[in-house]
Parts: sequence; structure tokens; C-alpha cells
Amino acid sequence: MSTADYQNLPYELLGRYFSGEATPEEAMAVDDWIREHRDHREVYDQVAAIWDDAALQQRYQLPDRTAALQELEARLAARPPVRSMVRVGRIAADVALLVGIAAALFFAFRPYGTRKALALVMKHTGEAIRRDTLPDQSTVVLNSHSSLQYASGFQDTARLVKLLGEAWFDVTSRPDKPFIVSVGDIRVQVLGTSFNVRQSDSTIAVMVKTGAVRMSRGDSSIQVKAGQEGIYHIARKELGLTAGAFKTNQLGYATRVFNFENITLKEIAAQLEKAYGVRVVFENKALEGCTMSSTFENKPIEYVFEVISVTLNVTCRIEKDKVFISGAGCGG
Amino acid sequence: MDIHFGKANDQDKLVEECFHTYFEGLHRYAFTILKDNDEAKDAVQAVFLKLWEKRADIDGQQSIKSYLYTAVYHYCLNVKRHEKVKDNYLAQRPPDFEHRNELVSKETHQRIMEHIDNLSPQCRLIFSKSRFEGRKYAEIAADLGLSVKTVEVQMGKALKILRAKLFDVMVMILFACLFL
Repeated sequence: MSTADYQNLPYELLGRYFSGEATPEEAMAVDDWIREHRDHREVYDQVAAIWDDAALQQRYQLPDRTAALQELEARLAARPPVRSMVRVGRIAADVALLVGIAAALFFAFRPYGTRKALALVMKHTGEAIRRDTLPDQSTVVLNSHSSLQYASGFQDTARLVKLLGEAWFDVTSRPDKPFIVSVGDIRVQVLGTSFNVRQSDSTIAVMVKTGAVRMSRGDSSIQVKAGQEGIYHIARKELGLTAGAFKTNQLGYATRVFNFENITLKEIAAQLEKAYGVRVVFENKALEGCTMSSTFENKPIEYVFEVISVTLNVTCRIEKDKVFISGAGCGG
Repeated sequence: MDIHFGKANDQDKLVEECFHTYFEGLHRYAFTILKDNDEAKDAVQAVFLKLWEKRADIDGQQSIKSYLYTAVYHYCLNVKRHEKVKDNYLAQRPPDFEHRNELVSKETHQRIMEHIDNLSPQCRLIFSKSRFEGRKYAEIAADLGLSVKTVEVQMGKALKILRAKLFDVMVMILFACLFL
């Protein structure tokens, strides 16, 4: 069937296409046909919507092209130079030769600067959080059990980082070089701002402290401004803003800014442990239940525990990376 | 974003351009076969990895286009074959996106189902076997003692009728949602 025949038969061709029956030539014909006229695109979109909505299955969604390209680049970099192919000797030899040629071309055609940019930097955290300065002087605080990946030097047209887990970013303003966090399905793009990205099993949450960011997935995107939190529901594949106010303490691990309101010393200790990298030891377990309210804005650890000891009438003793809390109690 | 597709080399640039030009079409095509967005993305990525290795031999956009579509086709068929083998051992996994029925799509879904019921019996049967049972045209033709061409014509008819009847409905629903 020539392309000309399809002009009169878009529905049969589309039927084959959506049913997964289309040959490569037919798929090309569909795409050429879509591009040919705006009306064709409209018909295509309508038929695609009917096809998608008829069954409650996974709908078609175009992935973000830039993120996909970035992923491809990461896979090119991660590829081992020679593949272990245990096959018939001849084929293996041919493959080895091809890979060799490809590798030779790969390196021969690469100017020195770009070759340097090939190196990927990977950072992982275990239990302890990690504070880092990126090549562009932006700062990042990687929460526990998270990882961050980026091309060393940021010599690209954009500053791209890939995150798994949770991290706080304070991004230096570089209008010519957007800073992009790729996390799961989502891309968070900023020019210069500070924000937190938290990935869980069900959601990806972006809390913005200053400036604004754009969260996008495929074609859809939302803007998240200072004081707001953007949420992506992974299963529903939906982007939205949360209604409630911004919870400062959630960022405490990174910013060391806390606004404790009538919460227990046990909870306070857990948050401080993370932010300051210390262990808090209650020598008197009863003290865990004491409650207090206070605000700390990135204060030294000594100051924070001084305030706690005065407020609750307890004794805080700091020894290296351990803080011992003792005393009779906070009842009176 | 030229971490790897450096500007220095025309062939490198060509691969990146092809990615931008054909990614959408290839991904959509892969999805029609695999019915999974992520698997479709992996398929396209895999094909571009191959193209990257061969980029020194590439001459001209036209041959690349046909190479890419053909490579995606074969890659997807291969994935399907492996899945079939897997499915023989594993119970059919439940559909992942059962719960994504927001207002619009649920209502639209019902309307579509009503209109499918109104298709002629043969047309409805063929459309259901293709859309809901995921049967191949050749299998449907064999089951019903028809030619593949007839299946093709009936599928085209179903889509044409459904679009004619549903399109206005969809606009109305979208329109209504604006005022809810």
C-alpha cells in the first residue's frame, strides 16, 4: 500500500496502528499523515483518546524528551567499553571488532573538554546526611538513603542532576544555565532558588523556600512558588499543589531552621540528630516525653541545647558527636 | 544537553537531531505494540544506543528514519516474545492503572462503551477482540473465519463511527468540567 492510498483510509490505518499491527512503513505513514495537516492531527488525537479511554488500562503518555535524552546519555556513559558476549566465536569476534571501532570513533571524535564532561559523579548516603557544594557553587544536602548523580563540571548547556530519595538544593542563579533535577518521572527546573525534593513510593514532593521552580512531566507542568509545595502522585500521574502551609521543620535536616511548637523532646532530638549529625542519648527516658516550643534559625548546636536545657530544666552534655540529656524531669 | 552528543562531530549532532525529530513518533509506535509507556521508552533508548554505535556509517536522514522505525519494530516484537515466555510461568499481572479513572475519563469510558454496544454485531465483536482481548488481526480472522482484510475494514469502520459519535460528547464533557 503506498502512502497515497492512506489519504482515503486513515481509519483502517489507524486501526492497525493502535492495535499494534502496523509495520514500520505503516507507522511512518501514520506519522507523516499526522504532520501533513492540522486536521489530521486532530483526527489522530480524537481516535487516540477513544482508543485510550475505551479500556481502563495504561494510557499513552509521551515521556519528557529532554529527560529521555539525558537518560540515553547516562546509559552511553555507563556502558562498559567491551561487552561480555559469549556466543559463537565468529560472531563474538565480529562484535568485538565493531565495538572496538565504535569505541575508537567515540574517543577520536571527542574534543578534550567534552571528554572530561563524560565523567559522572555519583553521591550516595547511608544513615548520615551529606552536605556538598556542586561545581557551580550551588549547595546540596542529601538526606539519608538517597543518591545524586551529575556530570562532573556541569559544562553542559544546563545543570542536570538526577536524584533518588530526598535532597535540599540552594541553587546559584545562572539565567543562561537552568538547573534541572530529574527525579522519577518528574523534572524540576529552576533558575536560582532554594527548594527540597522528596521522593517516596507514592509521591514526589517539591517544597520551595525561595524563588520558584517548574515541575513537569511530559507535556504537563506546574509552577511552584516560594512557600508552596508541589506534589506529584506517582500512581495517578498527576501534578498539583498542596493546600496546607509549608512545614518548615521538614527541611530542618538541611536548613537547620526549626519551628518547634509544643512537640516532644524525643521528636525534637530526632530532628536535631539528623541536622547536626549527632546522637542524642536520654539518660533519663522520662525526659523523652517533655514538650516545648521554640524557634531556631541555623544556630550552633551548643546554643540549641542550651535553650533546651534552660527551657525544660534538664542538663545537656555534649561530648564529640553525642549529646547526653539528663535531669529529674520537666513536670515542674 | 550535549554531554555526549558533542558539537564537534557532525555525526554526533545528527544522532541528537534524530532523537529530537523521531523520539515522539518512535515512542508512540513502540507503545502501540508494547502497551506500556516505560517499556516503550526503553525500546526507543535501546534503538538509539544502537544507532549511536553505528553513527559513523549513517548517510542521510531518510535512511535513518526507516532504520529507526524498523529497529523499534523488531526490538518490540522481541520484547513481546520474551514476555510471552514469562507469562507462561507467571500469572497474568493485574493491570497497573486500574485506579486512574478520574471524572472525565470514567464518564467518557461509559459513553464509549455505550457506543461500542451500538456497533453492528460483527464490528463490535472484532473491535472488542482487538481492543479488550489484545488479539492479533490474524488470530481474529482465523477465529471468525474471515479474511484479515475484513478485520481491518471492520476495525476502521468501528473507529470511524466511534469518533463521529463520540467526538461531540467529549467536547461537551470537557466543556462541562470547566464549569464544575
